Amino acid sequence: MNWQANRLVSVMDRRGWARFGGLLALACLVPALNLAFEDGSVLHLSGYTVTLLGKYLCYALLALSLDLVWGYAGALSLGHGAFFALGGYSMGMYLMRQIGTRGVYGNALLPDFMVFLDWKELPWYWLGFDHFWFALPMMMLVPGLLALVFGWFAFRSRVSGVYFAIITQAMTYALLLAFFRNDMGFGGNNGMTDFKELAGMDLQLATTRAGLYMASLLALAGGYLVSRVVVSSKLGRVATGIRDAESRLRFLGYRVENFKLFLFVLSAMMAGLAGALYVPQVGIINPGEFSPANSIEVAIWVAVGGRGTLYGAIAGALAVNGFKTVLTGLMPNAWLFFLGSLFVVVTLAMPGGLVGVVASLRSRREKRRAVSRVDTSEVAGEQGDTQDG
Amino acid sequence: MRHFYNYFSRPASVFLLLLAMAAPLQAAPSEAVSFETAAAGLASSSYSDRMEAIKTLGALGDPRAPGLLGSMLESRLYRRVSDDRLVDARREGSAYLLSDPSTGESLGEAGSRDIRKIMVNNSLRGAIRAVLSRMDLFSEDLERRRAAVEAATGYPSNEMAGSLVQALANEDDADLKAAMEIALATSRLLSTDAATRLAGLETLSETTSSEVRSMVSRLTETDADGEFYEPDPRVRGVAAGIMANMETRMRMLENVGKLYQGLSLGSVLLIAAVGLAITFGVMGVINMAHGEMIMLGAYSTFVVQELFRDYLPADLFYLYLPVAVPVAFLVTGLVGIALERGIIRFLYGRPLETLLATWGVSLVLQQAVRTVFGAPNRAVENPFWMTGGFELAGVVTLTWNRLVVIAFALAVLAALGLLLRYTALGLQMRAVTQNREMASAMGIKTGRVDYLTFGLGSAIAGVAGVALSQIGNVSPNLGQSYIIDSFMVVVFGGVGSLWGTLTGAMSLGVINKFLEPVAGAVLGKILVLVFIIIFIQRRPRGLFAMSGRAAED
Amino acid sequence: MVDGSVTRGRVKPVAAGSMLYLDGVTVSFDGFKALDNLSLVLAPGELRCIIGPNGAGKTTMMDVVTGRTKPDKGEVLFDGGVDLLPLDEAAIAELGIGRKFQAPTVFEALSVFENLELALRNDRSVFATLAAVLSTEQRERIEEVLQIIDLLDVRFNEGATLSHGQKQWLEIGMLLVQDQKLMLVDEPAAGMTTGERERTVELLTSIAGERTVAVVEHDMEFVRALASKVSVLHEGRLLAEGSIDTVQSNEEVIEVYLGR
Repeated sequence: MNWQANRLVSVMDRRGWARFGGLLALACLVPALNLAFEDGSVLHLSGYTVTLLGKYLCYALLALSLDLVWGYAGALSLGHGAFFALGGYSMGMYLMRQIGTRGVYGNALLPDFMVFLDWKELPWYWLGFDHFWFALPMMMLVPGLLALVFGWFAFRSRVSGVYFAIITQAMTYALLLAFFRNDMGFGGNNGMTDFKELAGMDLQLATTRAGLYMASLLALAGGYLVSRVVVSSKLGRVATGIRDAESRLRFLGYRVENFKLFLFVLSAMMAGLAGALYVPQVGIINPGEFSPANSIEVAIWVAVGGRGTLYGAIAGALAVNGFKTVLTGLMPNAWLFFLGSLFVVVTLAMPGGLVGVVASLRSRREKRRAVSRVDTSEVAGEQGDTQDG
Repeated sequence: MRHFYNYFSRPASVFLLLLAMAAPLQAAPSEAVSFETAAAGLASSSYSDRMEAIKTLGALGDPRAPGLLGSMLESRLYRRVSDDRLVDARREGSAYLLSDPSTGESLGEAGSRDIRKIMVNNSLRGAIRAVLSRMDLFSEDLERRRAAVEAATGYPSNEMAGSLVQALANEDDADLKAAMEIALATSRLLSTDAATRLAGLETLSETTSSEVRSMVSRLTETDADGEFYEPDPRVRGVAAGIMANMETRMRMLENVGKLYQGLSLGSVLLIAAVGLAITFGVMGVINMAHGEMIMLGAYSTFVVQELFRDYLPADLFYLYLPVAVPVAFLVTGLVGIALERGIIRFLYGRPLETLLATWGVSLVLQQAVRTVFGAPNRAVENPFWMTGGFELAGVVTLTWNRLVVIAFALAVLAALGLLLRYTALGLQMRAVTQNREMASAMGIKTGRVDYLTFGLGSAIAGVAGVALSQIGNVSPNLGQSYIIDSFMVVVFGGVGSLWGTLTGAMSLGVINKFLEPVAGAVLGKILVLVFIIIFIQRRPRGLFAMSGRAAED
Repeated sequence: MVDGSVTRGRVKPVAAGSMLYLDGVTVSFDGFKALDNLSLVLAPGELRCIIGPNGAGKTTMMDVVTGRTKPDKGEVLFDGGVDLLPLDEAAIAELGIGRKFQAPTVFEALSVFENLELALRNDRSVFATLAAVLSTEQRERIEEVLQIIDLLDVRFNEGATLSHGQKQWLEIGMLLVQDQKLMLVDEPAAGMTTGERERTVELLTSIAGERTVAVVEHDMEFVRALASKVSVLHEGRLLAEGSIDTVQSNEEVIEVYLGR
């Protein structure tokens, strides 16, 4: 027990923990500013902003989950949006059941869209989604199961690199087509919306929205810690080894496919949780979430932040989405130009992402400082020249 | 081809003459009944009188009858109280607008008290329809005659048989004649004479239409009491034989139809994927903007079309398509070269980064086209030689544009194969992809070969866009719908082989179309995707999975 | 995966008393025979040099033994008769066969120490790896090897920062900590200085005895220094076998090396 606690503490150094705690406290300010100050006060943060930031946190968790498989094990999944959407649909199903007789048709047994399609009874896979205790694990188990089955086939037959990227994209595309169908029983084209309450709390209330924000924040913090524990373990080093020299690891006796599968499933579950928290905040889930473009966009968040660092993925997701909100508000047509260019610029000029840029700036500054220290002590007169060189 | 017949006008006198000759064949109305008398019968209060009047009007074949009966069918036939004249009346506010049902000549207005409605019920309507359709057999309009024959095939009757005999003698369109023979044969099945029924069956043995099938099939079935509808066992036997034949032929034709549709879809996949077979298959570059190259090709076609429309005489318009092919080739080829020189060459050996960067390019290109041309679909017209098509045995329709796309796809593939095999550029391309260092050492400018190869792949995608603009919408999202399919084709067919791309595209197309009726269109597509995903598991890297020393670290 | 009882069930008695037993192994790539009916036997504790011109099938032979390439026909038995053909790379490695590649492949993003940690003989399952903590003995073993391969000073440097020779040493070190029964060493001396070569010879001869070592090498001086039995491969076949002197005086061998 004790060494496990030690292990948890040792995943980050003292400075890392201080930053982690500081950022967490800062993030907690958001709902506090919303609830503690009246509308009109300078310090008041609107409910809209809280929900918007809560949405970003869900994106950040999704990016984090992708970084775990791409940044560490080198397997770029272009189907992570599918896991996110499956988590979202699991939450959506629960929220649909909570509507009860308050739907348009007032049917206690069936959600509105089923009444509309003239269905007589609830399909078997909807059973249990009335209960939060059932729905909550499903939000992670359903995407986890898909990742397990899909990953087992893919990794066992050593599908990797771009082939893995393409078939994961095909996977989410297939799901997109499937979820568009009405007879799948997930609301078809329109998906699910008009949610009323979550675990007895009215979704329109400011406190519920603040609560959802906090839940997203805790999920992100928890996801970060779990990922940190994983990547700082020997398994994390095996993952790095997979990324750099997969076949070498096999000759060392590691079953690479099992390691990838573990990370892929863990990652899919985190993505599912992100999706589940996302849905009540945006109030809708529809098949559009499965669109391959969404999944690729996640990859660019991770790349912008910096792969293989975990915090880079979070920073990237927050930065890109924050910018998206600003830019689409100012000049809606420019967003896709910007996003497209971002893909190009990051891959060509910033392979390490923001994290890499910051690190190289810092090391340059340190070098300069070291140089100037040498200068002042030894060749004080030529200080300026040396610094320029 | 329809317009062709409109130039022929049939003298109405021939029609009337023939009708007069045929009159004795009809279920004989009391002689010397004039049209006026029969028409007056429509206003009778007795249901049977009205029915009798309809039949008489049908037998008389007076050209005034269709208008009259048409009005009655739509419950607009009224009797004017003042003079008992039958009029067509439409309600206009509180009054009625009157007109002559046959000529359409206006007869002024009337109040609701001035006219009495001719009552019509469903069985009268049925009788009117039968009469009208029989009269349509003699219409001057080929399409109306065709429709009448079609209707007659489904609902044979003895009266119809009489009219068909007359119409057959009068018909000179070969297809329609054959259809009339069949319609006539179906009515023979109703005959009380077993020999006539057998003769009817004989005529029907070659057809496959569903109406005929259900009629023949009835001859082999029993009613609720277990009695055969067909009393004569000989006739039953022949009918059963014909049924069996029909089934096999139907199934065969259906499969031919699906095969054609599959090949047609396959050729679309093929033309979309050929360019990718070069950039991805030969060079190993994951170009996610491939779909946008197709889209640019389609927009080039649109622009060329608009230029032709605006600046050239109308009778040259149909030439826009052949002109669009080289234009699209050049435009997308240059865009491809710019893409390779500007971005892709810095990313060789980093396939995942290439994937992301080219995806970014695809977003930019889409948005650029959306900004210039607007988001909605733009219309590209098929030139006249690509519209229409022909029908095969009434089951499969082969449309010209699809056939042209199939031929075009194969031609592009063949041209590419020849280019790779017999030109200096092709030789250099193959050399560079097989061993870059060696090729470089032998003086091949590998950078130049790279951008030319990539430009060629993009240019072919552009040409694909020309073809695809003829069968689908031209919109900024055009490329998105082909990109995943194209990759599937190339991966499935085996990376780096044109034959593989051909077989991959065609087999995916055919598999898709054969799955569709069983599983539904969307589910069929999903199944194909799942199939490919499983296939990739078996051969994860296509032909790139070199074995032995070449794969050594 | 590799349960002792299962593999023992498949033991073939023909190979009793041998460490590696290849019989009639044939591998062809697109019609080209990389290995042509190759037979080779290594006794436990033996040090064996395998030489041959380019394309003789040395590396393919190692690929077959380590499970990367499956032969068209032939038998490959290990440690007294365990059939290797149905096993994959990981299972074969776990059974006790280690390999050093021709071009050194170390994990570039990991430190020298971490490279060795991954190679260390240990439970390789996912969850054991997740929970793994280095014991004191293991840490000492790694440090011991670090000393042997002379990388103690750079143990916290990333693999990518090492020189070619250092990478060769690190690969050898990884073989050592794996603690395998059979080591396949492909061109260990390439890119090494004379002094380093001497130390490599010393190291390999000291390992042989308790382990079986097969060395593929081009450098005849190095082979001579190892003073072991030599097998000469040519065009996928075994051409000659014996001491370096016997082999070098063999007519056929001379023709293969000098004739064309």
